[in-house]
Amino acid sequence: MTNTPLLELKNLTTVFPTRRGLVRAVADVSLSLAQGELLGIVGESGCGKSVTMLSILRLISTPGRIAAGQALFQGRDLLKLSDGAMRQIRGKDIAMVFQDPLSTLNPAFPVGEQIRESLRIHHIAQNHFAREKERVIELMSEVGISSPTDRFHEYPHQFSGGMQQRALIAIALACEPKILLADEPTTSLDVTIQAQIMDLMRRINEARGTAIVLVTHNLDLAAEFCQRIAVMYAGRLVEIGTTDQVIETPQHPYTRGLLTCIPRISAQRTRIEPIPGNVPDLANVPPGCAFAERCSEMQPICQNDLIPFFEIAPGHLVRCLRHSSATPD
Amino acid sequence: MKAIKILERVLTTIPIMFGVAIIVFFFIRLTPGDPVDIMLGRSAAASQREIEQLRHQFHLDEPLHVQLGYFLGDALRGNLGYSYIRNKPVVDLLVERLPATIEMTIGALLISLIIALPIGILSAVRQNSLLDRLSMAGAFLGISMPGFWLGIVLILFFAVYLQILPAQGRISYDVELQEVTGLYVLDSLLTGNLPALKDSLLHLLLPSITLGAGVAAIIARVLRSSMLEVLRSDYVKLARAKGATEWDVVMKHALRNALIPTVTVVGLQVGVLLGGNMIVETVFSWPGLGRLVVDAIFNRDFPLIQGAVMIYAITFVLTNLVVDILYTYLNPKITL
Amino acid sequence: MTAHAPTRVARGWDYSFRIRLRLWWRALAELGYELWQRPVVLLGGIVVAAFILAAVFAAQITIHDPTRGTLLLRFEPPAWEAEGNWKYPLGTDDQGRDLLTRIIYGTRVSLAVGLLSVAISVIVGTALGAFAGYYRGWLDEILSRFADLLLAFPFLIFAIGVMAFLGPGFVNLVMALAFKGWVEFFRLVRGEVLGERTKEYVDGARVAGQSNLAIIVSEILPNVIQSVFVLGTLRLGYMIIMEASLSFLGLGIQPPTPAWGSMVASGRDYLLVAWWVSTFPGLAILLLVVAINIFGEGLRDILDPRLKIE
Repeated sequence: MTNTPLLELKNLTTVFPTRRGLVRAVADVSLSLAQGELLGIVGESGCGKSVTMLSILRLISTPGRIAAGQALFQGRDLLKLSDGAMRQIRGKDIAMVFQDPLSTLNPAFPVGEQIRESLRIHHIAQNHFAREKERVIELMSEVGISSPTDRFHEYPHQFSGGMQQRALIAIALACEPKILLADEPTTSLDVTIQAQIMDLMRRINEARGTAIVLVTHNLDLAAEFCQRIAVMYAGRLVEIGTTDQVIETPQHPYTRGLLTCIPRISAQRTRIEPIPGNVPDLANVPPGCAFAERCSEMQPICQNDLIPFFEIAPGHLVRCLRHSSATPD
Repeated sequence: MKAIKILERVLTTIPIMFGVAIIVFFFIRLTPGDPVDIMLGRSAAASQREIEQLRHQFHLDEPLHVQLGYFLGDALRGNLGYSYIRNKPVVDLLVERLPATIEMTIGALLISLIIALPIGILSAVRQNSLLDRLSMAGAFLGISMPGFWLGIVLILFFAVYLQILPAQGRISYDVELQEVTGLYVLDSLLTGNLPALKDSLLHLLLPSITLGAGVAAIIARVLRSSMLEVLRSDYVKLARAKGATEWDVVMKHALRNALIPTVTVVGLQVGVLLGGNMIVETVFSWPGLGRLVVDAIFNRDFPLIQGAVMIYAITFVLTNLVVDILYTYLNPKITL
Repeated sequence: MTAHAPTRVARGWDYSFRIRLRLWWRALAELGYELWQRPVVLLGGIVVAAFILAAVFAAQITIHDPTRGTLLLRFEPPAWEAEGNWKYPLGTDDQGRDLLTRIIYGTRVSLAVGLLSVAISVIVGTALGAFAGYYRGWLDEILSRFADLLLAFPFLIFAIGVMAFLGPGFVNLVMALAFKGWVEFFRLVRGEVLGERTKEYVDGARVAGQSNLAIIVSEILPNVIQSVFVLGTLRLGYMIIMEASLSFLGLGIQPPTPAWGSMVASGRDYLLVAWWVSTFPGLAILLLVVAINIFGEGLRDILDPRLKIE
């Protein structure tokens, strides 16, 4: 791994104006991704993980907008690029795999055609149809779509859910991107298919050195797949560390809450304990720690000011005042 | 494979046409009023013998089911009877008038598509912009406006006040045109007759706008709302994530899907256009089928009404067929 | 679309009449508030109300005879034209009758035909729709097939056809329009009832021993009435255009009764000499229908945004 990260988010903030007020869906997120790294972003739905991914690609639809921060890709700030230059990056350098494969594939075009489009947009095969088609069929068999020559002309609704997700991955891989943003890639799939897809992504990472950001609500899945994990809550990162650090020695009460929520077959039958309370209204996040209201270890001071990150071990950052003895990052 | 399916679908329209013919037949025979009285008009001086003769000639003295047999047999041979009033075979009258109506309907459909497609797309892409608000206000007026009045206002402005467009008819009296198909614009193209082309296009303009305005308004509204829905979809997001240009995102990925509900609406509007023809042909003294039907209704010329209803039914069935076929090309999930 | 969903009225079988009344009252007050928030919609409503008043008090607010004129005074131009006369603000027609007077009287025809045909459509469509949706079975099957068949016909062609056989006239006109108009209410109510009949409150009423008819009338219908009202308003403008179109063709209201459609038709022969004879009656149609549609679409946005897809 080189020293300069492949992708670095600095204080990224994305807001959506709503009738109730300004929703800060992504608040002050700083994160880095190294070449070939497997990074997990974990949090419950609505915590801003997907919006973070879309912000990197500048795909936030109006009236939402990226209000502040930087997204440095190989040192270049994506947020400052022209629309044309940004399009050069989308799909080519940074590709995305979306959550719901059926609604993400265009129902009106054959699957093969949709994979080919990625090649054509970025002139991968010199816009030469036969060469493009050949490459598409290669890609389809690489992601495990059987008899790709026949399936080239089939439409999304003729594919099973797992095959649709493989097709989506093929679309994302078409231009051999350096980063793959995978937004809940397996949520809508069966458990067995889930394992196959995760396996496929791991192989891609090993074979091509593609860095993968896995966005999921499933901490277990992230723990199994990723080298580092970032935990998000109410638009903010609350804890970042290597998978071992986060899973074995979770420091933020929210992370611990997430871990006790996961049913385990291996250990003795322990009670699944839901975290009490609800996620705060994102238009009206209280000052201080957003999790404070639900936290069993809350102290009055927690609700005063924004909590900074504390580095409690090399590379293990946590936004919790219980660690105020450590040096603020 | 697709061709066989389409052929099958075409064949299923035949029983429908038979059903329509039978319904039309009974509808008309069961209406009060003796056709012979109408034929002879109010000059009631006709002798009993003449009446009997006419009754026999039109098979009116036979039982109803025999009459139906004659009617269907004749219809199959392309004989829809004889107009009571105009003393001409109904088929001849219809064939004579049909091209004018087809020409105006095509003109109206083209104009409404030319207006509605860009407006529907642009106002969805630039939702809430000035263009969107103006277009939707215009579309609102379009659906609230009676077509005949729009035609009259257009005549007043362009023909009476500005005097740049003709107010009635299909072609000026002093322009000569050799008829080939009966569609004047097409005929003047085929015969390379430029003055006639210009003249017939000018005549076609106001009627087509009048007939097309309401349809354009509806198409624009439907296209806009389905574009708005499609533009929010995941696959549009994916197209952007691939790096596709905005043009491709809108014109390829979004439009292709937004057209599916729009095509259904356009198909339904063809029926509306057929009704509108009667009005617009009256306003512009356009010698088409609609005007013929309205006259036939006034004169209670039942064979002619019967024939016209058949033509409308055929048009309607054919339109549905075209829409269905178009649909399978747009929407891969649907097979005929 | 709306700021908040309006209160759904009278849901639940144990509501007493008094509570229902209060709920209705609250819904009405909410509707008033929402209307106040939308000045354009309110303006549409005011224009419609003005037309209704003009129709009711036509005899009181006009000074000329609507059907008899003086030929000497034919084609007087509107008052603001060079030769105009304020006695005839919008000019006179080919028989020397005051155009404004005839337009005001014409409001009666348009509103009467429109309201009556919509009212009949609503009553027939709602009743049949409720029964078909509630009882299902062969009744539903037959009615739905028939409705589909009617729906396949373009409205104007159908109305022209019916008028061709019935002959012109006020009653026939209303019948022709209602004969096709009920279908949409049938489909709306049937669909709603199909959805409502399996809900708990209907089961509750059944358990409590209410008869089927009582359940339909007092439990289910109050919940679909808002949608019916919205659709009725939206269809009113269309019916008025249909009436005017038929009268324009000479198949509707016959002269000398002033109807906007036939007034436009009579002015068509004099476009070169008297532009106003056709223009103003048509403008009246446009104004009334725009007002009704603005009001109707506003009501829809407030009461029933689901109806948005046409």
